[in-house]
Amino acid sequence: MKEVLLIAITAIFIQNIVLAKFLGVCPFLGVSRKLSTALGMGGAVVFVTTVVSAVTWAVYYLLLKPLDLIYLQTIAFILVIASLVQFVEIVLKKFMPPLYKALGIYLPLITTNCAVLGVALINIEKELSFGLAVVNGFMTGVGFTLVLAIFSGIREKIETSDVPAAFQGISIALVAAALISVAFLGFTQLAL
Amino acid sequence: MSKQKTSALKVFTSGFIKDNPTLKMLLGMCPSLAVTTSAENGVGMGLAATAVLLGSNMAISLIRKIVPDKVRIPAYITVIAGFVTIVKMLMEAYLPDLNDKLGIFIPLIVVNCIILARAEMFASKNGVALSALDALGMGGGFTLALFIIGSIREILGAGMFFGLVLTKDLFDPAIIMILPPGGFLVFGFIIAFINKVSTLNVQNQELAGSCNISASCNMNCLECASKAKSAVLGSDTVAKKDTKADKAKSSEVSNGGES
Amino acid sequence: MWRSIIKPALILFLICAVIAGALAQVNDLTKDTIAKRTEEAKTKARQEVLSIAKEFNEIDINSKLAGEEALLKIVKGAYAGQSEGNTVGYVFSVVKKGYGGDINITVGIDMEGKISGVNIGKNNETPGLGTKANPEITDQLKDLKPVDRLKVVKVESDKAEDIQSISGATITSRAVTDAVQAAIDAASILLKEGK
Repeated sequence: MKEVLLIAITAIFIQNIVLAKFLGVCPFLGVSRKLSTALGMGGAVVFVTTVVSAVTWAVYYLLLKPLDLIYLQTIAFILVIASLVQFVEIVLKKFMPPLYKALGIYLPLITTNCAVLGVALINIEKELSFGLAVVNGFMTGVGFTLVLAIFSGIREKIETSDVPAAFQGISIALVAAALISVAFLGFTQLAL
Repeated sequence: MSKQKTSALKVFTSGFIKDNPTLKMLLGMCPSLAVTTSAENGVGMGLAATAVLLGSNMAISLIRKIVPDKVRIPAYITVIAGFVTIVKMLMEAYLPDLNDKLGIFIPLIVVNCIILARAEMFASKNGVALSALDALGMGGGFTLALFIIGSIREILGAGMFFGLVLTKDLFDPAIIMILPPGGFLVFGFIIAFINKVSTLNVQNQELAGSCNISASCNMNCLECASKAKSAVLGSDTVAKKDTKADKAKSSEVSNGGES
Repeated sequence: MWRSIIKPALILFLICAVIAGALAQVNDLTKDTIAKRTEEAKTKARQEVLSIAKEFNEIDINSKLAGEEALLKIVKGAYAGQSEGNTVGYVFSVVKKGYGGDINITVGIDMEGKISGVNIGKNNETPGLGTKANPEITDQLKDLKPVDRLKVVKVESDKAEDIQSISGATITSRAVTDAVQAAIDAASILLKEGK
């Protein structure tokens, strides 16, 4: 239990996937204009990182490692992610239309979200057990959603403020991201 | 003949400044922020990505006529992942130090938007030689951008340049520049600087310029993502909506500012 | 049918097969070099931290340190450094979590319990900050024969066991110091047994 909590706090606050690890910056800047889209994207990411963590763990430890094919890791993972996202989409569409309606349009964007492949690789690098890998995947997604939600709130404010011309658009968003990142830096002092 | 030459030259040079993938098109942001804690890391990452891009662009250009449109994207991703793995193995064997430093970001080149975007936008439509030139130009531009960001962060944050101590007694380095916030901050200011410079002359284009940049990021990221999976209608609408909203808002802001 | 399903699938399969084949080739080519480099780096680190030893023999830590769960969690390997048939010291490879993930640290301890050297290997610490642990922390630890437990302090202190942390990189400083302390603890168990 202690380990689960440790992974949760690390994934959400200390080593936040966007602000500390710089993974998933593209959707972070791209879909953070409105709180509702941010939450939709976040939900889809939580879902996919959790499932991907479980599946890539199985692929690595049950398939690649016993067969001595570790060098196919990158290629296998990206194909798993691409097909999994498609699969999830089809299943949701068929059996859970409301959820599909909420998350559907964000799913295709996730294949190229490096946070997803990143989580899969980090799970393997840290040699996490199956259960902890799934927890890590889930919590990383939660961390992503949290930051996306906070950031969208800030951007909604920025949209209505008087920003110097040169800074408009992505530029001011990056500066704002830097400030949130400073705030999250404080969490690193939590000695775990 | 001479016309061909100029166009080839154009293909090569446009990646550096005019269509710089990182600074102008805002592709491949993750590695641009993550590994640029020093100039050396930035250049190392840039060169690794260039190697992958060169391989994938040439290979995709070669197979462009035999790959059916339907499975185009999975085929490209497979080719790219293949080259990434090859580069990773070569680095592990011959550049172990750099490989350790860049770590997880080497396999993550697979999902770097630049690579897939060039495959889709250029290599799938052009010959091998031009595709190779395009790869070198775009890779060069990426490397240049990473070198600039890395240099600024290393000089300000560590007082060093390529590991050489520069500012021993001049000032205490601002550590925050090599921590994550510094990445966002430096990148944000560089883009603001480019916006300023590129719009100095034509006042009217000022807004169009800044708008294009933010829009292009969305468009491209959404574009390669939606293409990565046989485009779902919804995502296109989102992209369009976002851009429209963005344009509307920035013009609103500008009006407010000027009045 | 042929055009819409089988042909694309076949071509995709072909591409995958060609790439897998190419990867297998490159893997064969680089596998030995990679293994050799990793081994070389490890031997070099061991040699560096315990220079009086000529050869290193691995010790089964699971049996030697049985019951020391906390130690076994971070001490990943131990070697007896030998010269002309005598054991002249121990080398421990310790993995401790730093700021940017795990840090691989190799620690040499001689028969007197003195730290003969500390080598910081693979790590993802912040360049210019955490990476300064080598030499800033390692120099403080080298040739130290601690009687008390090592401690990381922020202000300078006369006590040899007080290790002054790098400003801005307390976590890294603490990780390295903790790793060395673990090696000392492990060494004291091995040394007791030898006597």
